[in-house]
Amino acid sequence: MDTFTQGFSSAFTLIARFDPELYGIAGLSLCVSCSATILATAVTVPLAVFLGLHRFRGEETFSRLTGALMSIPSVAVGLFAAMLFSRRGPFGGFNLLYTPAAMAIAQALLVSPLSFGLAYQLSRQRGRENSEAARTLGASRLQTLRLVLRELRPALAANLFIVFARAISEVGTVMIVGGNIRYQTRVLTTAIATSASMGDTGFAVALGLILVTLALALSSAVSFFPKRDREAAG
Amino acid sequence: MKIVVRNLSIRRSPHFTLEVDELELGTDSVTAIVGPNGGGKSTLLHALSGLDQRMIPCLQFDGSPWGVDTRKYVTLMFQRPRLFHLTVMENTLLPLHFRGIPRSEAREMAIGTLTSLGIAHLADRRADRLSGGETQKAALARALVFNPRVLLLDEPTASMDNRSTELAERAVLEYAARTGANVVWVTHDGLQASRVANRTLRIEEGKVL
Repeated sequence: MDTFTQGFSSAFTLIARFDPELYGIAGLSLCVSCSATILATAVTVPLAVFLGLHRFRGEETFSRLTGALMSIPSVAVGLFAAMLFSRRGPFGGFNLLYTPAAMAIAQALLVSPLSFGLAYQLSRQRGRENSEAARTLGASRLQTLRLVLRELRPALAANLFIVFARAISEVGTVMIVGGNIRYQTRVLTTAIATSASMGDTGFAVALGLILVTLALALSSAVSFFPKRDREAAG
Repeated sequence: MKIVVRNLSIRRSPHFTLEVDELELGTDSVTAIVGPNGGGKSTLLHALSGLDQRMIPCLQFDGSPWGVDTRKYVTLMFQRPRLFHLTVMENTLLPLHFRGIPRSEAREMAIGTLTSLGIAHLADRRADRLSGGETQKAALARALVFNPRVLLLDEPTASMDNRSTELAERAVLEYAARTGANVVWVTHDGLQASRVANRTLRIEEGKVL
């Protein structure tokens, strides 16, 4: 019981004292995961919406594949990204390994299938329904596209939060690519793992509380979307 | 607008194919399509709407193939109405906006149609706040408002109460009589078919009987 009492007590002290290392880690986490989310969605969402709205041969198989890729293990992506950025890898010349930039790119790779899959399924179901409805009313291609995008916008925004939540809560990718270097590449998840293993329960709990608060804030943000957009989004 | 369907074949599953060798749906008429669930009623209606590009070569409208402007005259009200995240009035104004009708004129037309279906009081309500029956009435208003020459209705009164069904039937029949539009009405209700239609087709297991 003492572990709990002491852990939470020192955690609250660290949070209340605005411990610079604690908030530095939280800030870096937000920065890396925001960048990863923006990078992933900027590339995948337009492509997913385009493919989702059009019929093509083999789309059932494609759809199943996108579903399967959404649950890709983070350590596998981390390993792949580390190989890309290692000195002898194809992007080794950029010297990105063990930097926040590499962590953001690796996280973007990790959440891209999720971002793509959610937007693709949404466009394939609701997007097509809306597109057909607009066409039966005499809308031109451009008018149809504008109306469909307008209809999908809230659900796509809700997807953004889900993608960000996945990015900020993962540990395997950033641990491998970032190296968990103190004051440089240590983020919330890797810092919790390190602090817990080193017996620094107070620091680990403080980081955990920040992570949980962020997760709850994201869940609350998603719950503000209308019910049918929440259901349509993952 | 007369519709002729020739050599239509739609395979929905290994066990179901809708096949129509030749079917003519004349002007000034309301045609009811009846039949059991899964018989192919909605599939035929979907094909007639031109939404399935592959079926367009099988369709002729007034002797001409499907052209760029045909979409402006043909509309389909889906079995599960697909209203947009807008108010009832905004939904009703959409097809008029697509046709470039000035806003004041469009608004008058929309109010007239909503009134004829008894839902003028719902004009400012958002579509997601409507009951099932109200949603169907709003979707019907949106389909009627721009005077389509072919009106395809897939069980348009399935969620409506008796009073609303009566209003909807009257509105569609008045519309057909006024404009000479070709109305194709899918229904499960044989009595409704006899009330609204001057011709009834039966579809079973993908065949028009």
